[in-house]
Amino acid sequence: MKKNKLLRIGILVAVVVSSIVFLIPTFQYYSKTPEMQQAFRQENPQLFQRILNLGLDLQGGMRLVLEVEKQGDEDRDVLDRAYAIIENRVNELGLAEPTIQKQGSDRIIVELPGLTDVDAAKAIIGTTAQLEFKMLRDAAQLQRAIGVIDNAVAGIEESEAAEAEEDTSAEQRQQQELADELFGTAEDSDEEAEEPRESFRDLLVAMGEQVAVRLDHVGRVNEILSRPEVRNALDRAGLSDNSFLWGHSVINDGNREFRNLYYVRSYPEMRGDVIRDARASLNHQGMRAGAAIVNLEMNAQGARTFSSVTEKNTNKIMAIVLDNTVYSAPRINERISGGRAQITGNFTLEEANQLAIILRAGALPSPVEFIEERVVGPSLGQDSIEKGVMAGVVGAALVVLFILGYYKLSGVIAIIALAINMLIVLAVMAGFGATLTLPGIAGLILLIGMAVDANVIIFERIREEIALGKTVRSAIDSGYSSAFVTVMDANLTTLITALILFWQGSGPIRGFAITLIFGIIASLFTALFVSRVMMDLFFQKKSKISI
Amino acid sequence: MQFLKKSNFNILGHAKIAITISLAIIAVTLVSFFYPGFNLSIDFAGGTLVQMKFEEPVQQDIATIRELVNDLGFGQAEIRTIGFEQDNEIQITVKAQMEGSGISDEIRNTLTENYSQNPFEVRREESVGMRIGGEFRRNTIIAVLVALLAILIYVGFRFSLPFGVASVVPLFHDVLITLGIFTIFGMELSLSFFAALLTVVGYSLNDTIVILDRVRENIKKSGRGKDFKELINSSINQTLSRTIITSITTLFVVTSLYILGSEIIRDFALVLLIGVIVGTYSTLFVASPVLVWWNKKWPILKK
Repeated sequence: MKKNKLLRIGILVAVVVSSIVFLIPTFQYYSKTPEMQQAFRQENPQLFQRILNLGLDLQGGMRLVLEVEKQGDEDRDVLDRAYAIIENRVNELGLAEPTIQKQGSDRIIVELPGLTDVDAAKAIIGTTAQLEFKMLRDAAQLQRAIGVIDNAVAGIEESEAAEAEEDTSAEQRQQQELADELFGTAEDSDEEAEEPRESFRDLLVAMGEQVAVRLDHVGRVNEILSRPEVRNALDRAGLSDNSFLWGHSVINDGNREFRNLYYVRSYPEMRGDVIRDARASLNHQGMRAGAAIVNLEMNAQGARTFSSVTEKNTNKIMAIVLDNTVYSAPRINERISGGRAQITGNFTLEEANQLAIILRAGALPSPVEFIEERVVGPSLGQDSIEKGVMAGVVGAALVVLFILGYYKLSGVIAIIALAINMLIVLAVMAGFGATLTLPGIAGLILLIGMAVDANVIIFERIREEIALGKTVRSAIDSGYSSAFVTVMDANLTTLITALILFWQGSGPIRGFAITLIFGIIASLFTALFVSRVMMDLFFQKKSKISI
Repeated sequence: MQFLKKSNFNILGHAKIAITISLAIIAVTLVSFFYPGFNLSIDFAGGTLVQMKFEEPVQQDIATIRELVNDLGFGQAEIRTIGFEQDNEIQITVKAQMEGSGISDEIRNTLTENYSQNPFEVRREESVGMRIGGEFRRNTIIAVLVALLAILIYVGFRFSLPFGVASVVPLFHDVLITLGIFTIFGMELSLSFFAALLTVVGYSLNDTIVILDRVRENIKKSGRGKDFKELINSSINQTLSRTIITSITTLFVVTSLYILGSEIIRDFALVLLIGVIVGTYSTLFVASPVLVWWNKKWPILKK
């Protein structure tokens, strides 16, 4: 008996402690400033999964539902293509935690926390896709551009820069140094990058024949490239018809994540409208049998253009660019006439499929329609949280006072059970990385009122048993055992409605259903187990019960 | 402290009056569904909502703003103030006349032009297409019906058919009357209204189950030969203090949500406030008479 009791107290303590542990990352996260939160997200992606997220209606942001127009039955992959395009564009917005989901056969849900400019977002997401083929510039040209940019960043006077440009030997020497730095000693460039005086080339890392940029330096590179003095310097150096484009995929070398940075000719050799079809398949013959490839089919005009482009640029690299992001950069091995091309590379079948979708997306831009938009400004979200907390505190205070007045010492047990209940709900939600919405807050507050019910049922039953003249111990025992079925049935039926809400509800309403579901389960546990343990602890050996 | 020591109210004795009142309210409710009819929010009707906070008072300008928005040609604008007067916050709603968005942009633009001396901040913006609004409408009706059916099945399975019916009839009663109160007073039905309504369904059911559970227990204990009506009446009385206490604690939190919560929460809390009161009433005065009525037709207790 005694051992059993110790075990139950142990379980109770374990549940409370692990709930608190689960909530620690959430507390850490929300006590940081927004800038530090961003750093935290980047440094601890795993831990971030275990944080109680705030819904768009609380932190501010935008939810868009798009419908893709289908033109006939052959448009079966229209949703995949639209999804690929929208994903690309949303990622270019550079937001913290965007989510993009397909819904049904023709809808895409885009959620953009922190962004409230609907017009801008719709303009970016809703425009027709631009697929282009652009020639990559060679390493010498890339290095020259890097040199020009670095001079501009270092703030070398225009006259000096001009002199430097005139002095070709000096320029060459400088370029040689650059090349050493870039391709030879790329290792230690990381440390230098931390210095306040930044240089463009320090942000670059050699990767094969290309350059890449650490994921957390992407923003700084963008910032440097957009500076007017950098643009002016590139114009003066005669490099204005080239541009830097980011690669789509993130490269992971085991330690760090990178994105490729491509230097291409701005004017496209071809546009996506010449693509008739693109399909991924596995290569069946030759040396590369078993590797995934993409077969490309062009219309007559495309075939002509492609033939002359490939003739002129044999052995050079051509970038496949969708909405200014490079999806693939295959090398042209030979002149290709006849309008059928094959892209080979080290990709998996899945990656090849993705590339085929991108190519088809450019071939047939599918119009999208915004059928639902919901935007909440950040100040409203903040207000909602503050008012919700206030309502919760006042509501909880009333419940606590009432229960303490009504049940006295047993009331203390009910209140502790209620507090543990709330703790468990929040911890479970954080553990699942669930999202707390405004209706979710309402659900939690409602739970404060409803979760005491299970204890009320039990306490009322114990009172009845005492009134029948039973001893404290047997009153508690039979109180719990006869209330057990009632509490179960009452809560399970409520659970049914919560589950249906979760099934049919959308967005914020789902957040409400989630708090309700976890709340009901937690209140079953606290009423039937937690409060029982405490009751035994307080009253089992007493001859009178304070209830 | 104890509210009710050995209560013995003749709840079933008042059932006739209670049912008459309920039926009368439901009749009015059903009429209200056609006249004035439902006031569907943009969630269901489609349309655009813009909530904006001005720097200076706008209370006097509401008629002007309404005219400005009406002149855009998207249909009749509905404008109401939000929060306290000193908040300078208004909400403009235009029900959908056509598919597609862009209405909010035009509303913003025209107000920026005409109120350059009183700048505003957009706090919330919602746009729902007519087609998706229709889908929400259908899904919501399905959700409510599936919920009621699932409850009927669960209770029928855990208890027995008459108990299932006795627990679902009050839920229809609660849903109809809560809907009716909103319709009669011209309040909007939105997605969150129905979320709150389903919560009320869960709450009211919870209440009913506790009583039915006691009825079942009492049947087992001393059922045979006892007057069924009396048995139910004493079951209600045995659980009455619990019914009242839980209603009180729930009303505490719902009321503080209604008074202190933000705009959206207040709408939500109002449904709960009305629903909890109606739900508690139906638990006491609707569920049990149904069981008694059933017992008269098809005796649950064999004498």
